[in-house]
Amino acid sequence: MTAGMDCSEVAHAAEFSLVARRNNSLSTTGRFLVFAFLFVVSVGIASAFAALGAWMVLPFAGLEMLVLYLAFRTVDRHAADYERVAIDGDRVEVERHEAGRTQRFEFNRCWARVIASGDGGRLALRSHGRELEIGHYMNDAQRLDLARALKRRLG
Amino acid sequence: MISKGLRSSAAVAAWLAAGTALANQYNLQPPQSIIAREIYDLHSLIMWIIVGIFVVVFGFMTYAIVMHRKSIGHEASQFHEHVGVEIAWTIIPFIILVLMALPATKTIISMKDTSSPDITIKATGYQWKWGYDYLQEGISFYSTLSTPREQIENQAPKGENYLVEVDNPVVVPVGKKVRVIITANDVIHAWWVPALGIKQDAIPGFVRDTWFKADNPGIYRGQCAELCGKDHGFMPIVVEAVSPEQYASWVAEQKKKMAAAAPDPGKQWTLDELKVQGEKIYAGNCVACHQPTGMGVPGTFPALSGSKIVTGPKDAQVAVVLNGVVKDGKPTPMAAFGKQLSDVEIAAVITYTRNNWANKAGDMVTPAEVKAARK
Amino acid sequence: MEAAHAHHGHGDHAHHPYGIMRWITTTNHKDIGTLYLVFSLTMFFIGGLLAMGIRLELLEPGMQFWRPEFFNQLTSMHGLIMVFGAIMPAFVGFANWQVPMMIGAPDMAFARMNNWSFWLLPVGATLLVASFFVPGGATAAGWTIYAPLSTQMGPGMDLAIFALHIMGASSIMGSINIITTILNMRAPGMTLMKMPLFVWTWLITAYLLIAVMPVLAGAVTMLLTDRHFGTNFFNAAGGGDPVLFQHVFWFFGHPEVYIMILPGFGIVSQVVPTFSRKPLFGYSSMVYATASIAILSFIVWAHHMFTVGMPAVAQLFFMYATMLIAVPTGVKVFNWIATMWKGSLTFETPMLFACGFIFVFSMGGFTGLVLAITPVDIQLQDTYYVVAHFHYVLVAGSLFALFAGVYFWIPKWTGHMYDELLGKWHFWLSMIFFNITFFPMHFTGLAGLPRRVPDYNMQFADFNFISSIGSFGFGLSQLILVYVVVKCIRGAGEKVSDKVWEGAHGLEWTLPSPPPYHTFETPPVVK
Repeated sequence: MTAGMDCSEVAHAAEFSLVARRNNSLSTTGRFLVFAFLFVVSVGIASAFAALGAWMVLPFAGLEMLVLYLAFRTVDRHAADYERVAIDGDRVEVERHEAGRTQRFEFNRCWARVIASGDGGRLALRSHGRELEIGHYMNDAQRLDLARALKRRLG
Repeated sequence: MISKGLRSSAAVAAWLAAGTALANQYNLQPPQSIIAREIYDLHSLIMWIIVGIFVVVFGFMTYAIVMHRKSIGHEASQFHEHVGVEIAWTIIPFIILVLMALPATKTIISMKDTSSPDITIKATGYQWKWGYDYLQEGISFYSTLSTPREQIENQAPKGENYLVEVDNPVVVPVGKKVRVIITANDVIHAWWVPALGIKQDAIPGFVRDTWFKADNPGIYRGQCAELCGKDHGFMPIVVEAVSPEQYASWVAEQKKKMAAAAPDPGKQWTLDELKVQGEKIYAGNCVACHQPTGMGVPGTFPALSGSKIVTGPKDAQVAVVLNGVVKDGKPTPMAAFGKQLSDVEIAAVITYTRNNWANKAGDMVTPAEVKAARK
Repeated sequence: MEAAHAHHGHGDHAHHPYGIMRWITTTNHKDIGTLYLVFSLTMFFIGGLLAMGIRLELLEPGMQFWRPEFFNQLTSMHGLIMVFGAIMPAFVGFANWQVPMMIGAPDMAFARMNNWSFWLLPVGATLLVASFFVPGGATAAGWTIYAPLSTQMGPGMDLAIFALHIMGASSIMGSINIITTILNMRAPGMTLMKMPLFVWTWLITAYLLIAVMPVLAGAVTMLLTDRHFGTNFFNAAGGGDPVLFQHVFWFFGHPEVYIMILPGFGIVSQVVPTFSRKPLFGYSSMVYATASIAILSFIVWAHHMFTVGMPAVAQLFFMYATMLIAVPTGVKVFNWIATMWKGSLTFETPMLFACGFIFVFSMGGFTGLVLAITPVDIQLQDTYYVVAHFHYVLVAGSLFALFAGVYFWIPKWTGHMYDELLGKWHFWLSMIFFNITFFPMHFTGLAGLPRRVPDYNMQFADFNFISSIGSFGFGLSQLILVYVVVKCIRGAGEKVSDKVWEGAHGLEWTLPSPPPYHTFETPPVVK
């Protein structure tokens, strides 16, 4: 859905580690408040009409709130998405967190190769015919930086 | 009125000519009641305020457009805020609005005061005519458009009161407070007489009221103001304000007429008599939908000529005309005429439809049969 | 738009289908924006054709061309098609193109849902137009479909109800998408109070849509069940209340009026500073004024119903609330003029339309003030004065704002400058013919001509003749727009720079013209 640019190179236990996060301009609290506001307005209006006898507004307001809830939940589930690339010893680790699930990919440092397009539009790691695209939440310049950093460290 | 010839000339010329020829037709109609006068004055007051605001605001805009152009070398200054000005142009309009609201409030309250009327008239909207009942006097009649169809279809020159003339106008005495109770029989209509300053929606199942007091004798014309179906544009309202003496004699005359119209129960009608009578009833009540040809309007209003109901058993047709057609529990445009028309009238119009156009039933429906069917 | 092919996105994004399938399956906000705009232009001409039919019959007194029932179909469908088919989708088209580019987002939040929202529209529109061909023809109960007249209508009414449902669903999905996009996908640094005003107005519009669309859906559903399933919501004979329909309809209908004008305010607020080469005057008061209008729009609906016979207290309340709207609306107009004040003004076509908008919209606002005064409204309700009023705010308001937006952004969208001379012709012809058409309606309305009538007394003949001539001119002038747009899309006209306009500010002007298929895949930083 969206891409972020909160990239930080962290020097911790691993030799190299970089986390890129999705861009969110609205906090979880903000999302909750917006939803609560829209819910109160919409259901309030519908209930007032129901009290006046026009109850058929209510199911439509409910349906709409359901769609709105699903939309906001989808956004919320993806709010914490991140991608972490780390080099530790002879392993290259890619950790991808998406919609609450975390996937881990491992490459052998000696075999992994960096595939990068010249404009930074695409960046991937390849090993044994397996290719994994990385740099989802980065812009072109950041991808190029990452490509350089990885190339330096990988065979 | 400008001549027909001018119409073919350029629109601009027509515009200019119209401006002078219609000098008294660019404002509200001359008010003829106290409410109408208050509305007229309110409108004038607000128009002048608006003209003032218009001149000031667009004076500034025009000045900027002329003087602050890049083409004459004006450099842009970069200001984008000014708290004082912004507060001023929020507060000043607010004060102007309060000044406008005060007289309006007074008028609203007097418009609503329908208490202690001299006369009460009930107006009922039908598709597409008005029914009137003078509640104290016991007079009732229907008021339908009297403009001949030839004028509407451009086969005859149009009269001065084209589309705003009726067969039976509402007659009221000058200077008396008339309360009008308004309702409708089928869909929403609106009873509107501009010169008297009243407009009130006529809502089926609900009764609303309004009032007027005509200042001067005269004939005041209005139209239905709420879309009510196909002949919405063809159900005018005419109010005739007369002196109290003339009004008294009109009431007496109406009462006499109503007594005379009461059918002689013993009269034996012939087929031809009923047909002649029926043709008039048809023209007043049926022709709008079912058309003079009896062919109706395909898809909307069924044909009577060749219709199974009209050529079938009498009882079924009598029932339809008396009770209307109800489909899925809802009334259709085919209204129940049982309350609007007398036994003789219903018998006549049914007999007419059964023996006209392609229909050759050859039989007649008698008033007695209609009367029996009503039970 | 061919231009969009010119620059492919990166990597996996490049695989989008070509030809017709591209348009059917597209989830790209620019493609969908284009679809919305093409759709609304089509509906604009269909609705315009119906308007020509109306004015043809009203050219002279007497029944010339149509039967009265078909005339009522023309007026009803003209309203429905223009409101739900032309104006609303056109603004959604602008939102699709512009909102992501203006806030630095790569696309709309829910790209797939965006595709569905669009493709529901042609379905709804087809039902509407098809209703002319069912027995009894299209609905003839006015665009307001008041019960119980609408319960009398034939199957055309049912088609209109379904069409409204479908188009309403499209609007709801569209507005959820827009709200999520604006709130969650702004580039870092793009705080709420830094958002371009067009984005602000759309945020508030989307909120209005979410609040009132279920009300419309409920209203037309109750109509449907009253028609076919024996309910009695609005049927007085069965214990229902015909006036309830009006309350429900106008509770939707009045915010709807602002839904159709607020994004127009937004466009004008982008255009005026650009060609004044000055920042917008009173940005924050513009935001607050827009929000106040949105809030007030929920407590004024019954001013459409002053003649139904409300208690005096209710009439007073709705009169005061309605008059109050003049304050924030005035603030907006004053701000635009203050933006022009001491600027360095040039008058390219977008600016002409924006100035035309301010001028004629204000006239519509003034007549709105006249109509707010309950006693005067009772005299003028359902007359041609009202017709003049809402065409001044909707045609000269919303439509002129849309035109300003088209001329303003089409060089950015296509990479080519439009034909300035033809654009100016389009403006002046539209402006002059618009006023010839609608100004005389103030007079006929004051003098007592009810609206929605196919025929009239001789006293109204001259003004109606003028109106009709003006409307034919206005209709024909719109062909210029089509020619200019087509020319631009086909790549005639000189290439434009990224910034296009000397005084332009905002993220969209940092992108190439035309922008690549995918933009801001990672957000820019706003300082």
